[in-house]
Amino acid sequence: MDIAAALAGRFEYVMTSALIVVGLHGMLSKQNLVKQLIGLNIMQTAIILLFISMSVQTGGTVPIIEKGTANVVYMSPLPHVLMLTAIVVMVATAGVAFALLIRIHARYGSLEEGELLGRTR
Amino acid sequence: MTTSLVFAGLVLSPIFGALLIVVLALNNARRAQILALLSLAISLGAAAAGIEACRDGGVLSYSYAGWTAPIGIEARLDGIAAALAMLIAALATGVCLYAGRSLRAELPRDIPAFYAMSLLLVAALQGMTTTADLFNLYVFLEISSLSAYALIAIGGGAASLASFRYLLIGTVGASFYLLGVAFLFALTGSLNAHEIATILQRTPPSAALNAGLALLTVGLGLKMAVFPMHGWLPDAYTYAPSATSALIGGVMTKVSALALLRVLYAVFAPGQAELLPAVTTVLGILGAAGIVFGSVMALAQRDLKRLLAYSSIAHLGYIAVGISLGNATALAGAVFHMLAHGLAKATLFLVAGGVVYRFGRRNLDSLAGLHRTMPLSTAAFVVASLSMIGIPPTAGFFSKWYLMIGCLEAGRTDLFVLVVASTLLSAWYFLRLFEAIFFVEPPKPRTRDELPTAMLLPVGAAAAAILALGLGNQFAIGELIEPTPLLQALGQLVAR
Repeated sequence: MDIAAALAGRFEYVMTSALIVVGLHGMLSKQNLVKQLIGLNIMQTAIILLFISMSVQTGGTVPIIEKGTANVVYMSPLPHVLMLTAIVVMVATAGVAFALLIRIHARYGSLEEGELLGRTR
Repeated sequence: MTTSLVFAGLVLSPIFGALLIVVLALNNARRAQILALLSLAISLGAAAAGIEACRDGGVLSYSYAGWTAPIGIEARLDGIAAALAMLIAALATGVCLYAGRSLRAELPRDIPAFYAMSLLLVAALQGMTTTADLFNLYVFLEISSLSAYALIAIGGGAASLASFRYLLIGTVGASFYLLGVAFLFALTGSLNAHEIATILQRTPPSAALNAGLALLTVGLGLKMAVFPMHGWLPDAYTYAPSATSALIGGVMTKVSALALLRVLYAVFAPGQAELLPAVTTVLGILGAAGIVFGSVMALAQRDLKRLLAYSSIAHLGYIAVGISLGNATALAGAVFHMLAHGLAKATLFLVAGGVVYRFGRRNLDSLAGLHRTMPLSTAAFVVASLSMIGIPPTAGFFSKWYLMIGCLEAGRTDLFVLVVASTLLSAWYFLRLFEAIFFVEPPKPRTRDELPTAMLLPVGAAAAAILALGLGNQFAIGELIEPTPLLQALGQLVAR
């Protein structure tokens, strides 16, 4: 009951934690390398969502200061900027990973971890 | 002016070198190598200037694009960072010189891409050692990792698979690190390491602070391959081209270790994180377990490069133990061990690459009679092995010396005994290598067939550097490592 009370109103943390667990579970339990990569991407996305959720202000607006406006609540722009960089990193990682997968498939004709172990030994 | 030139030389010169290679030399290995060596020469000069500026506790600080911290990103060079920057620049220069002949024998294609990727790796590692911004560190960490994945995968076949595994584990590590940064950012509203440390001093202990600390430690621990987070390392080092193994095995894990040291002692130690003692204790236990595990696994290997990879896990254990103890002596020992092990392991991988170059194989049997075939390389191999075991006057002896004094200073007799006993273990597997070289008769008589000069020169220079670092330990520790503000804040060194 305490846990439920503590989690109420913290939907974003529940959500990101769940996504991270889903991602890690996918990486650990799936045999297929592409599915493992998908798990990794889910986990990275969860972290990006966590950062973005930090910037939210109730009733907040786009952080552009205009003349003649006072008492406006702004969203924090910094997490957005950071995550723009993190998304680029994530895309680059996915690109390198797919390139590696293509090479692995061309060499061994499979992307199943069990089969690959048999073929490399 | 000089300050900006140092950082430009360290970080920007290799980046531009990599771009130039992609534009001008993607189908000309010779030209790519010359461009790589030129930009690394600038990097070396900058590292030397950095060491000169950071003697006796000097610190270089530079704000990118003129925006001062905490708004902008701060680059910061202290004595420890300068020493590591020198190691990175020097090893990369040696490896790029060596790679010309070695890669032509090992790789069917993509040789110019190797130089571009190495330069990118060097730039990212220099960025990691010099940045004072936690998010900037994440970006450099990922750049270094991405170029490392490519450098490993160039080896083809099993290397691609090893590289993919490394990519999965490495990205999880970097993601944990980023998650830890998210907690710190939420608590302090800053990303600058020094500002976070200041704010944490007046931040009450909280679960979020503990979670941030744990996530940062696990993330960097994965990148540093602390036991039991080492799973990616043996395959990656074994199947990569020899030049890659030397470069990555020499410097990459050390830079993550330095980042971990900074996070624990420059960011969290002044604050009130309740979990910090537990984290360092666990790190010490894992380091100790890694020393034993790595050494025992090294004993069981028949593949020379795999043996060296497991020995790396053991030696990263020493660094982890040094970091976990947290007194100035042990930290100085850990940093000095990064330098000593980086040089020695790179030398060993370079000679292993020479064995592959000459005989096309890398199992221990192919070492038989190596001293007759390649006497000079074998001499370098012996010097590096002695440093790995810890025999004076090589650098490895002094790093272990400071680590042992650090153990005693912290009152950890158990770790002291372990470090001493593990020296016997590493002596055991290196003596096995000596046996395979000197006392096993080769199946057919070997004639003298030394490595070509371009490969022998880096090997010899690295071996000479191991001796020079050992004999010059008073300079490296007394004038460069010990006076850095980070170590000064932790108290006096006992061992001097």
